[in-house]
Amino acid sequence: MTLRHSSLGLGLMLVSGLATATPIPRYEDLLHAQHVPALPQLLSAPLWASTKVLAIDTQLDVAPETGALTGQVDLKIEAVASVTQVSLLIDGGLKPGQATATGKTVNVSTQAYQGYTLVKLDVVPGLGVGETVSVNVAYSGTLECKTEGCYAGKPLAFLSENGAIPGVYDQDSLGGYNAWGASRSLTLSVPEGTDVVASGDRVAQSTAGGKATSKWVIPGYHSYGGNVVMMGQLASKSVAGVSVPTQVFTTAAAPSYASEMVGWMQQIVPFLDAQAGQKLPYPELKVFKLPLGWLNIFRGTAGHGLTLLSEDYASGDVAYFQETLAHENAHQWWGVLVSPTDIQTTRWLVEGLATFSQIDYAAEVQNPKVPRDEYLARRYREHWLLVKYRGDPTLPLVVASPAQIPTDSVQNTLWAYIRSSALLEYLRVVIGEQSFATLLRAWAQDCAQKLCDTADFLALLEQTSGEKFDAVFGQWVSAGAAVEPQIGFSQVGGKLRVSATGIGGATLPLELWITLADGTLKKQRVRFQGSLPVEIAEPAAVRRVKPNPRQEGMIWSRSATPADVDFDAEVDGFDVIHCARLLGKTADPSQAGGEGIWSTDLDFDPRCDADEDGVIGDSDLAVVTGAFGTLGGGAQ
Amino acid sequence: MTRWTGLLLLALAVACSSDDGGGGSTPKPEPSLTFEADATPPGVALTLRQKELTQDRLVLELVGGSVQDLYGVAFRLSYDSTALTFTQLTAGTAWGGGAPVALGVAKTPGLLVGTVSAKGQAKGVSGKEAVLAVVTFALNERKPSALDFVVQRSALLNTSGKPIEGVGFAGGDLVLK
Repeated sequence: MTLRHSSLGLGLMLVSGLATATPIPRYEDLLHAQHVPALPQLLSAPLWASTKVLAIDTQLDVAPETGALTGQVDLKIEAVASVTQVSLLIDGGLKPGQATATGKTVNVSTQAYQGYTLVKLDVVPGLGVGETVSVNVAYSGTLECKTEGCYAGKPLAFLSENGAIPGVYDQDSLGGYNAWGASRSLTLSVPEGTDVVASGDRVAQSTAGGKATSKWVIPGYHSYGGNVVMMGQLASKSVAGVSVPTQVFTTAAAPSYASEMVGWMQQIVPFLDAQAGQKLPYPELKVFKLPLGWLNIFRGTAGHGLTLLSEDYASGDVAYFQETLAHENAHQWWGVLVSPTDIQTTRWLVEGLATFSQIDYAAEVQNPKVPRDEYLARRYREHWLLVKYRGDPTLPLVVASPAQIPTDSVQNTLWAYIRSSALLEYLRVVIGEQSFATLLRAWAQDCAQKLCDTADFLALLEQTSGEKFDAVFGQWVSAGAAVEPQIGFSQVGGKLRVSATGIGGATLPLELWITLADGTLKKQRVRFQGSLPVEIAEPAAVRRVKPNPRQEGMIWSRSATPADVDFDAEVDGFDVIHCARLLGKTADPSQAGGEGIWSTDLDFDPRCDADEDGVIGDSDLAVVTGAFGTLGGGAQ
Repeated sequence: MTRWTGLLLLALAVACSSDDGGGGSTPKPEPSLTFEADATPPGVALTLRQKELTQDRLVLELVGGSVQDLYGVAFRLSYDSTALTFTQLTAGTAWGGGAPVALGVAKTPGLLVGTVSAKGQAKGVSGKEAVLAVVTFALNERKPSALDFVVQRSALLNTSGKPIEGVGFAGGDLVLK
């Protein structure tokens, strides 16, 4: 795959490590946190440019209950251009000590920076092009954990990058940070009797002098995986019969759901294996259930070989906890192993794909008795409702600059998770299940631990489908719009003519469901170009032409006949009864008895909401009853 | 206007009709028009039942047989538009005190498009012989004709909005006897 240079520095990417590859936030939590967690912003001037980080090796001695620690980091760098300075981010309670580099003098200075300590390392003399050096920095103190990078206490503590583990602050578009291929290792010493689970492959473990020491290694590849360490009194259960050795961890004091999660992982791992077309390339997969109440500390993430999820996700429907666990494990592929390089401007192939996998898992594994089309259509109706009534469909899925990413937490979630996954489901429908499955396997095969982005995904999509999608991506990936085609049809001389008006000049692939007068259902993929109708040979009388409703998360289709909600070009009792049933319903999330991601009333049909106010009222029903008796469409 | 024209024609027909071979014999009684419902299908059914038949109008009940959890009925009924003219559809007694939607339109001659439905979170209707609607036609001409449901465009729907399976439909005939 082609190496593409990010147009912006990677400092933001670095410090947003825990903001990617995460479960979907709960709606009620977002209402209390109106903005996405504040992340350090780019400094006004680059500190350090044109550098490649080859390795970040960290050694820590930590007291998990207090957060007291001593540490040192070895940073191996290669200068691509002249380099005189490198910077690290560590927890605000830590202070750097001496810094050394063979053949160099390293001058250390610090600055408080948005809850972190920014450690500036001036290398004298500077590095020439192609020069490689290892910089060693000692640091110590007691963690303050003002950011999301750590938590000290009992019975569980955690560490991550930009906290106890230094993050490399790099604003260069070429190198630096693990995301661009640096290998990582962590050698961690804790009081003997403290259990440790960390991202990475455990390569050593020993006990001496009252200390338990373990070493964890992450190979050098580009990844957004959150590098996390959990410490405390832990319990574990093995997951038998899956392709990669898997263990479920909990705190010893709160082992609830461990058995359930073992059973779920026995289904999730094979599901992910099938989706990616290969097993996870880890010696071990660790799944960590964070205790109830940890939602506000750390709700979960995925890193190399480690998936974490808070039990708070079980507070509603346990089935939703299970599908969220599938989401988070899907990030092992979509976010950890396959990390698109355009993360600065999009989440659609990270959070969108994980949400897509989550819903697909719910359909295939948790609800196998519900017809697949019916289940997926119902789930993606929520995406329609959320984006239509609460979101902004004009926001591109790949924005032009990071500044365009919504900072409002609800809008951010709708953009990153909801509309993104709706587009993926739409693409699956219009190229077909088999082709899309091939596409995902190719995406995993070609892009795991490599540098790929949206353009590569488009290339694979076109390759597997044999169709052009550049126009579609131009409309709804790099641009945005509400897509509300009005579907009409007529039939003359054995030809069915179908139109999709109201889409301007857009290119609109669709799968149509054509119902004949005898009830036979035919599926037909078509491609509308602006207002041009498509013609389909169909000698039998046609009663109804509607788009496959699985597309509705993205394509908000309506009948061209006003008040016709079932697409038969007529307004009869079926339309009236459908909308009469929905009288009084609202499109709000967090409804008692609701379904889906944010507990939405998935019976709500925007086609019955004539005034588009999110409530189906008497005036909306009057629109349907007023048009009652409109005939002349399909076979009578 | 159509109704009066029909009645006038009917009166003339009655006045002019005679089959006697000579004067003085008693005329045969005029055949009377009656509604004969088709046989009620077993199980859940939607049928027609005569409520009233006069010189100028036919009133039928739309009856749901053995229905459970019924939310609404959508139907199309074909009829001979030279014999009948649709005039009105009202909700039947099965809906209790609620205010269901009751609509009937016959923009296409000889085809009544009708519906009766509960609204909102209403409970479904259950009953052995639930009168769902009352349909009134004006009699244009006293002649035999059929009233048939367009089965593929008619359904009973439950409170989940799904069609009730296995519904039998039975219309009826206006016959002269």
